[in-house]
Amino acid sequence: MSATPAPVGPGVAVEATPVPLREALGWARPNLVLSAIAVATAAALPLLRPNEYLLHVLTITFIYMMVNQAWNLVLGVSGIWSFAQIAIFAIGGYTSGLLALHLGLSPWIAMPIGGLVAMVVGILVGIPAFRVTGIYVALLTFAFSEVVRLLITTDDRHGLTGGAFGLGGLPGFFDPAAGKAPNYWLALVLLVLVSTVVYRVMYSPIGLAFASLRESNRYAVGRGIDPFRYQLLVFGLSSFLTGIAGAFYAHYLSIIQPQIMGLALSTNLVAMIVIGGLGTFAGPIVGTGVLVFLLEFLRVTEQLRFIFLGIALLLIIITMPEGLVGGLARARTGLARWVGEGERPREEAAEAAAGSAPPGDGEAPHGGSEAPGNSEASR
Amino acid sequence: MGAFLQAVASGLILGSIYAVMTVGLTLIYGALRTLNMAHGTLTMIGGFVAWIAATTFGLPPLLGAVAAFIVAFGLGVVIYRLAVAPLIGHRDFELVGFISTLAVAMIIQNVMLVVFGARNKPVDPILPGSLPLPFQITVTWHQVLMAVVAIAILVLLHLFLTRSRHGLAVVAVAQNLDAARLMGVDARRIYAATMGLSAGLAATAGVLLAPIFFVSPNAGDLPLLKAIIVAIFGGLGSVRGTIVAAFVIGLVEALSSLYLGAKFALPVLFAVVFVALTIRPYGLFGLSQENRL
Repeated sequence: MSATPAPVGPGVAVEATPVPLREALGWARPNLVLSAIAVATAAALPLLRPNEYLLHVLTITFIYMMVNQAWNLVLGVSGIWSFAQIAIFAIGGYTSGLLALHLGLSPWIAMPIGGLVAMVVGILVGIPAFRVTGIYVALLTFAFSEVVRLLITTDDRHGLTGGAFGLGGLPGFFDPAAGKAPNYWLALVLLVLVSTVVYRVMYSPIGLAFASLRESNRYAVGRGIDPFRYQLLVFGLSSFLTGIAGAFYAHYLSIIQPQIMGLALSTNLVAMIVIGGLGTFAGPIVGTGVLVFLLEFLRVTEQLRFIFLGIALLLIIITMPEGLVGGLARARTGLARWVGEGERPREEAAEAAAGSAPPGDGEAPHGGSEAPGNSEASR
Repeated sequence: MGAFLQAVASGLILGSIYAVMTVGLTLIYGALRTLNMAHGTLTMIGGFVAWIAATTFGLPPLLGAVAAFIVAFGLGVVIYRLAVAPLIGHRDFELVGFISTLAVAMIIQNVMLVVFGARNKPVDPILPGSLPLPFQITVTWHQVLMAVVAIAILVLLHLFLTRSRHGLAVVAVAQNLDAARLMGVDARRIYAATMGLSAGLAATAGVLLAPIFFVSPNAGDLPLLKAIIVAIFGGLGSVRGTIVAAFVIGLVEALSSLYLGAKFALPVLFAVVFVALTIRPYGLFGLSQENRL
């Protein structure tokens, strides 16, 4: 999860790590210039008049990036095992779609309302769910999303939500005659907004609070950080962003169906986040971009591509659990260190490379790693 | 009256099969402190092995079940070696173990999809016919067999865990890793054996379920979901809690399908678990996570 594995646990000499505190806490900062260039390139793309299909794939990719960015804030940064993400996405989409269909609201107004409703639902789910931790949160949030899916799927075709057939005929944001480009730009703008918000949160005191909760739960709580309140705050914010993405998705495709809430999409999105780098800012973007295009290129191989996806996920989580972004960042710092200073003690570097943070005195934050954690003894 | 008794009977049968399915999951959580998300695919594999044994080799069902147990045991050990062992020592082991077993599930499921296709494959019940019962209650002999086999497995498992050296080693590792190591237990070997045993149990459940739900690559999704519900309701890592929870969940499911309709069975189940976890955050018999670690 951490980009730089320098452990900040008790008994580790912090002054020996030359990296800045925030990097030591685990989050590689993205390069501003590179990000600006990437956004500018993406914005200029429709001017080259590429085919509509490419623009469509990219628009969907941007939506996934938004969802993953918001999900990563919850899953990676805050360590909340929420699997309600796609249900909240769907709630945003359905709310906005129903408002547009039945009240005739413009999508531009319905979309933020969809986000707000998603936020309220998220907080209502969070209040009971965050009383517990780890895998129990995963079940409660997953349970919630299954209930939402089943209730919509079993609804009558002519009922409120359209049942398994979905909610169709939603108005779009732009005149369909204008082609895909306006929607593409809107998706890009939304993605940049969502990413900026996520970035601000990650490097704010809230982000720091979660870093400290992860590194030393009891100490952080002792310093007055209330995990419940912070989790609720971040989850509400993430739900709002997710709801917006869902609303955009619904109006862009002009239909939203309950099938998206099946396991497949959730699994693929988690794979994207983990392969990109769980808990890193750029991870969801990189992972989503890489995987969407790989899966698109491998479309001809049909089911084989999901075998490939599974193998890729397995390899990444075993060889570099911090994902592509974290792994590359580590390789770069390692290279810089190797070039820059030879005085770093060898065994310390080896320890850093092994990435094994020695568990403190029973303070594994998410409660999990204690049992198989002491693998040193069995080596 | 007849309908009520029918629901109770179905609930008890469901409960016994849920217990077999979930006990493996909870054993793994007890020893390794992570969920095995490939557990459902192992149930599916069990069904497939039984189907292949019956159709291709013409073996009797009992041999098919034994074959399923052995194949799944081997697969469980392989999953441990490839996907779980390399992660031991990671500080977010619970999360990365969850994700890597999810990846394993994805691989197995899609391999089966490529090899066998998505079509449902029917499997004959091991015992044909049904019991002569009053009030128009239908209980097939196969369901009786399911319940009997399930209870026999649970009893055997109980004897294994409390009487045999190896079973005691599994319990010791689950209770206190350091103490178990000091007593000379090779924890890594226990992890591998636990994964294998749990996989074998999942596959056995799969064999029993195959005649009811067909065999297909997606056949493991619902059992996994149910098993996770039962495991968490009963308290992860507690075998006793799991068995009690399995019967409670089975009964709740059968009764809510009777009185509210099948469409509400799962939502009601989730609602029950939701409320139960809000009141008792670590399940019926589970200890709080702080205490257990």
